[in-house]
Amino acid sequence: MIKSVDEINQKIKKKEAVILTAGEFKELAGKKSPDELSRKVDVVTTATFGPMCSSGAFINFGHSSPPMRYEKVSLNGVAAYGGIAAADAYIGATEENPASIEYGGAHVIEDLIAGKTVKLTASAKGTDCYPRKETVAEVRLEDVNEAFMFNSRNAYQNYAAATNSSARTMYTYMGTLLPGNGNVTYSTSGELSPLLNDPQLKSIGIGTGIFIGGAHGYIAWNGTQHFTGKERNSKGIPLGPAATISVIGNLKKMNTNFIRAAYYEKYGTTLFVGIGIPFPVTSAEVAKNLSVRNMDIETVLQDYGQPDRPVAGKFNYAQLMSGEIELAGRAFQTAPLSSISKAREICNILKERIADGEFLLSEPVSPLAQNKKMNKLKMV
Amino acid sequence: MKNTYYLMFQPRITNEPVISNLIRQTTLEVNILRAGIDAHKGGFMVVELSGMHDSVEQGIRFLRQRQVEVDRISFRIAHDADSCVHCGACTAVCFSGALAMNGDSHLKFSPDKCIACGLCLKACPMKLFSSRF
Repeated sequence: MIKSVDEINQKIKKKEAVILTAGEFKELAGKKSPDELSRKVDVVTTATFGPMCSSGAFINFGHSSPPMRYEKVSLNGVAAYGGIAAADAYIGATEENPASIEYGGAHVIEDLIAGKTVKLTASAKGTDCYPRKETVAEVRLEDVNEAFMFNSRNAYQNYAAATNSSARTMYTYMGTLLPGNGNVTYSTSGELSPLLNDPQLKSIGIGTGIFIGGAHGYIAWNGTQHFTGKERNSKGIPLGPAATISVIGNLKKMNTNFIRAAYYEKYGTTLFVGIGIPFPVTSAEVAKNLSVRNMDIETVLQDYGQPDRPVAGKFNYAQLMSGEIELAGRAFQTAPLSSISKAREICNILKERIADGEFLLSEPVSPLAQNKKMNKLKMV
Repeated sequence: MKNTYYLMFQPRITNEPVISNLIRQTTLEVNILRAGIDAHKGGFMVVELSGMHDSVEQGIRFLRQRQVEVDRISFRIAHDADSCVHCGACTAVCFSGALAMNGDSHLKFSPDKCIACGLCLKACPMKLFSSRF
């Protein structure tokens, strides 16, 4: 190790730290060795801004009078989970309003962050502790006791690209897939993406401070479906969906520039989440990992037109981002689903916050799970 | 000059070879990009008109005299650029090149390349396109 996280934080406090965005660092990496980079640069900011379905928020609305355990809870007609303690609920991004399916939990979250009033309706059986059976209230984010986002699976380390060989248009979370392999979509911020800059998860871990939706948050745990055993290419990058993180952050500090509700046609609602992770450049190895380029990151192309989604090919992100790939002698139009320009914006904001001393780097409290397999459901 | 127009045909005008007459009476080049017209029912057409400014004006007058609604395509489709997050999902379904990511990973909308297929209206996850097709 060339320098510790503590030493880097001291430099940040003294305004002496060299902080670069992932984009800037990669430019420099073309001219300098990992060893030189690790001596010259202290922090590199990475980010992603894309649709992340496993997102939602815990909210405590405050007690009604007389008190009530909100058992069945809805927010603007969207069901929230109330099977926890009185006055708490969890609103998930993909829960839809049955009367208007293009409005879901993601929209409730965005509306709350935007400062709009949201209608809470709750019902309960009524008990001695909590006698009230019905409540209707108008809720604003500033009035609730707590509201924190807790997302169980975010910032996927790579994801398979999608196409559709069938004869009909498919409406998927990978966008509209036109028949006859009419297009190819992919979802990543590629070389800017946090977990692709730390392929073995050696720098980040539980407790790592992050940017989430504009607020300061943390990595809480590995994410669901966290899979470290994915096949890797010669650069050590997993060839498709691999590691994930679960993240937490204060909803009251978020802003709608970095949290946006979405509706994918005939699929449902989801939430675009902006996540930024700063990496302390503590060694040449870390610098080498942070030097990864789109051409080094490969993913598989899956055919959504067939039931088991077979792999139709393997491509790197420089190819996918060029707007066209070639498969079996034919050219296919490619399209992104994750915003690179927003990811870049987050890299820049995080860089500024660190430079201003608002955001210090953290050492993980504990590493993320390693050697983690993925189990299939045992169906009866 | 060369512009793309969205034309709406009334049912009764389908008896007349409108486009044929348009070409004969002006010096315009007419490139039909997309059409959906039934005899006696009417319909729409997306055309590229190229020629001198005066010829284009003359052509549009000719069409309007026949109760064909004529609008620049850009007048018929709108994109709320301020709310756009530049995810690029709309570019997956746009084959006319009206929607494309530029070198800086921002969405570039060129309405004049639009052929009014309407696929972007559904493909945009934030529903930022609106049309009068």
